[in-house]
Amino acid sequence: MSSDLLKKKNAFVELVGLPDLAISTEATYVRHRSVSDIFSIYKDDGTLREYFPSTYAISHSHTMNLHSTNLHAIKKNNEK
Amino acid sequence: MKNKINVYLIEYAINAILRQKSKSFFIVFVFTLLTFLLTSVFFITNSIRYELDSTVDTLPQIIVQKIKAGRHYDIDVDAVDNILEIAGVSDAVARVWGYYYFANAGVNFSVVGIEQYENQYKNSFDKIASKFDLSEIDSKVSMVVGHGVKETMHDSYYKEYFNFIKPDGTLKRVNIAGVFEADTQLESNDVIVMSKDTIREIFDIDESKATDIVVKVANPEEIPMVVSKIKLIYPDTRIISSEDLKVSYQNIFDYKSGIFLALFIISLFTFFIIIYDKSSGLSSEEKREIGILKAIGWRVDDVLKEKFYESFIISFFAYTLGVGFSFAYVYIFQAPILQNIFVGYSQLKTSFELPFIFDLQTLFLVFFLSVPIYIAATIIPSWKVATLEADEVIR
Amino acid sequence: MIELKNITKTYELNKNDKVVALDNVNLTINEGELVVLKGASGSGKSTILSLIAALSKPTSGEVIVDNKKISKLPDNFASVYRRDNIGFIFQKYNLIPTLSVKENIILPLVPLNPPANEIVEKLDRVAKMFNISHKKDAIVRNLSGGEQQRVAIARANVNDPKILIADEPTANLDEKLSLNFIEILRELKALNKTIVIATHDPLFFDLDFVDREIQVHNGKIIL
Repeated sequence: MSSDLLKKKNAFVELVGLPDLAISTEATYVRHRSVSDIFSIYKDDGTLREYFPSTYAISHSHTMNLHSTNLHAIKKNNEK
Repeated sequence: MKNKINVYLIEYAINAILRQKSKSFFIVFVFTLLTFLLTSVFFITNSIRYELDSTVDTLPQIIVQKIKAGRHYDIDVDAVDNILEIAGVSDAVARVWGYYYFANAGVNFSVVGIEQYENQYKNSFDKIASKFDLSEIDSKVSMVVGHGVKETMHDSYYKEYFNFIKPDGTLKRVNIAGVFEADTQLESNDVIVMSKDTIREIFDIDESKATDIVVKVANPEEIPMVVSKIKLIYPDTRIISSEDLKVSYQNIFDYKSGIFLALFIISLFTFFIIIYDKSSGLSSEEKREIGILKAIGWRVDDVLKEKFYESFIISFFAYTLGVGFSFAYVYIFQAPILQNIFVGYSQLKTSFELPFIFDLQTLFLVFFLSVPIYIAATIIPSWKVATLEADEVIR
Repeated sequence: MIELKNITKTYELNKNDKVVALDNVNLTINEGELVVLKGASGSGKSTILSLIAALSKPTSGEVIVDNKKISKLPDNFASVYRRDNIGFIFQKYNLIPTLSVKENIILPLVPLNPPANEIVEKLDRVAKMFNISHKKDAIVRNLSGGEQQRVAIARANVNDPKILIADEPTANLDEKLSLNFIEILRELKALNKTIVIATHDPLFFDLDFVDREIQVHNGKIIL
C-alpha cells in the first residue's frame, strides 16, 4: 500500500471515527463488529443464530462484553 | 564423495514420477488444490487484517456506549460534561451515527454525523473526497458519500440528491456534495457523512441524546484508568478502548467456526484420505519394484532415499504450484468467488483491493501442514516393504 | 568358495503349517565352477539360489562365501554383498518394465553414484557383450522374451560379479533362444566366473562345459 493511500485512509478513519471495514454491510454486528454487542442479533429474531454467510468467516468481537461484565473487578481494582 | 548428490537417484525418482502419469497427476492436482485453497484464504485474511491494522491507531482512544436491557442505547449528551471533568481527559465528543436502510435497493448505509462543516474538516475532505464543494455544503443540507453509496443511489436515479424517509414518513432531501475516493472503498464504501443536525432530523434523535461518546486522553498510559473511572460514574455503559479495538482486529477471523472450519476439515480430510490410502499399503507393483531393487543390491536407505526424492519432488512441486496460483489468484485477480465469503450477502458489494503482504509464516504453516506429512506417508510403507526379505517380496 | 553347511529352510505358511524347503543340505561350490542344480519345481533349487544370494536367510545352518558367513549378514550388508558379488538372473527376469533397457541395466550402479563415464563404460561393455546395444533406449515392456532375458543378463553382469546365479533361465524361452543362452553361458564360463544354475530343462544336461550336475529332490541333495 502506498504511503499516499495510507494517509488518505487514515484521514478518512479519523474523520468518521468508526472502526472496521465496509466489506460486509448486511447487519450492524458484522459491519461494525468491534463496537457492536452480542445481542444485536436478537433484534431480528429471538431464536436466531447467525444466518449471514459473512458471519461464518468474520467472528464476533472478542472484547464484546468485557467491560459490561467485569465491573466488579474494576471496582475492586480501584479500591486498592 | 559420500556427500555428493546422487544425480542418478534423482533421475530415477523423476522417472518413477513420470512413469505413473495418471497417479502422479492426480496427487499433484489434489495437493495443489489444497495448498491453493489454504494459502488463498490465509492471504486474503492476512491482507484484510493488514488493512485494518494500518488504520487502527487513528481510531478513537475510548468509545463509551450505553447498554440498556442488553442493547446498545442512546446515551445522554450530558455525560460529556461529567467525562470531561475526569483528570487526563482532553476531549469528549458526543457522536450521532447509525444505519439507514434503503429499502428500494435492500442496502444498509452507515450514516455518520460530524459537527457542522467547519474549516477543520476542509483539509481532510480535500484529501479524501472528490467533487467536493465547500460553499455548496455551507448553504444547503448536503452529504459526502462513499463510492458504493453513490452507485446505489445512481441506480435508483438519485444523482444530485437523495430523499431520506424520516420516522414520521415525510421525506428529507439531502444533496450529494461529494464522493469519497474509490481507493478508500474498503473503509468508505457504505458510509454517508453529513452534519449532526441533519442526522438528528432524519433519525429523529433528540438533542439531548447521542449514539456514543468518544473520549480523548492526553497520555495514552492513562487510558485504562480513565476507562475504569467512566465505568464507575456510568455503570450502565460499555467502554471500548483502542486496546480493545486492536484485540478485536486481531481476532476478526475465527478459525474455530464456520467457513474456516469447514474448509479446513474438508481439505485436511481429503488430504488424509490420500495419506491413508498411501500408507495403508503399496500396490503389488510398487512392492515388487522395491524387492527388485533390493535383490540387485540396493540397500534399505538407498530405497528410502529414492522414495524421499520422489515424494519430495512431487509434493514440493505441488506446493510451489499451489502457492504460486494463490499469489496470482489473490493479488492479481483479487480472489474472485472466494472473496464472496467475506463480502457475504451484502447488496453493497465492495471491490477488494487487497494489499500485497508477503507472509512467510503462512507459507511455512502450509508447508509444514502438507509436505512432510506426504513424505512420511510415502516413506513409511516403503520402509516396511524394504525391510522384508527381498526373496519374499519378489516371489 | 561357496559353502552351504547343514542348511535347513522352512517356510511358515501359517501357525500350524510349515513347509520344509531344504532339509540339512551340505554343498560346496568351488571358484570358477559351473554347477547345474536339477530337480522338479518345488524341490528346493530356487531356495538354494536365494540363500547363496543372501536374498533370504536359512532357518538353521550357515552359508559361507569367500570365508564370510553371509547367512548372518544384517540386511544392509547383505545388499552390499549382493551388489558387489552376485549377478542374479531371475526366472521372470525381474526387470522394471516401464524403464528403458539402459536404465534397467545401470540400476545396480545407481546407489554407488559413480562418475558418468564409468557408467557409460560399464553399460557399453555389457550391452555389447550380450548383444542388446541396438535396443538401449527401448522400453523393456516392448521387448521380446529373448531380448528381455539378455537385458537381465546384462544387468546381472554390469558390476562384473564373481558369482552368477540363474534361476530357470530357459523356462520362458523357445529352443532356439535357449541354445542361444547356453552359448552366452559358455562365454561367461570362459571368463572364469562361478556359475550356479537351477533348471529342469534337459538342454542343460550333459553339456561339455558344465562341471557338476546336482540332483535336488524334496529339499535334499541326491548325489
